[in-house]
Amino acid sequence: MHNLQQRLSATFSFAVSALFTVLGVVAAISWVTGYGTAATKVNVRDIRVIQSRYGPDYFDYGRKTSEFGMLKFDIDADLTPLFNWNTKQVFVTVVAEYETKTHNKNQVVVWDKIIRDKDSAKINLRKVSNKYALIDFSQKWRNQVANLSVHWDVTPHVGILQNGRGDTSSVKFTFPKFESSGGR
Amino acid sequence: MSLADYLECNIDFEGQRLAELISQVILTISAIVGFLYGYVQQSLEATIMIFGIGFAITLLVTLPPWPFYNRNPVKWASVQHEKVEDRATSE
Repeated sequence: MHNLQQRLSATFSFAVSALFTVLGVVAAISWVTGYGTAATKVNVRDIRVIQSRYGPDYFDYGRKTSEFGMLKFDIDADLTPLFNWNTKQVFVTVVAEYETKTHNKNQVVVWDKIIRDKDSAKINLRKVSNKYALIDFSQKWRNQVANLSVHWDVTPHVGILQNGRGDTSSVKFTFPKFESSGGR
Repeated sequence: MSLADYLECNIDFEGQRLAELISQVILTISAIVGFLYGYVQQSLEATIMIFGIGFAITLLVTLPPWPFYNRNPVKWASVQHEKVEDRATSE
């Protein structure tokens, strides 16, 4: 500490140590306490199954055809409990989960949103279409039972990424049998 | 004198001990206060702001060679010409 540079160096290094200790404690607290749960509800309004090709051009015969699930659903979610002092943003997804004869756990992300602050953490959306293609591995949706639920990933300012999910059993739906005569 | 000499800003040994103690105390207190205030207010921004203010105060207090860091100057022994001459002649 005998001259200016030494004092600057010593002070700065101690400050960095102190700051990282504080942030480490913050991260540890968030890791231990978690972020709690949020009340979420997904209500399916309408299900259609259409046959189409992958990609933007349905007339591109080089691409495979598949059955696509077309959903309309309502989302009611209050994600404000997930916001505390160590929440940077919350990534919300609506996930369709179902079980088939060949694969016992299938998850398809149908819709997502990034919520950056507490003020926009209440989601009340009506008749939302699925943002992403709902395709099964088998490319068929024959009387498939599935359920929708809201999942969230909390991105902290410091610490580990944590996730959670809302109620899942409340919503169950069956894809109606695909009518080949009505398809494209 | 070059520019590096003007930026030297030396302080004495007691001053160095005092400067280190002051910087560590202020930084530790501002870290603890910032943590507690941020936890109560649920704002990590407040924690960082309070710590930043504490860091600025620390730099202001410890960096310049304030007079109270130079109250115990080192007393050098006076140059003793005779002894040097004696040793030179004895060898």
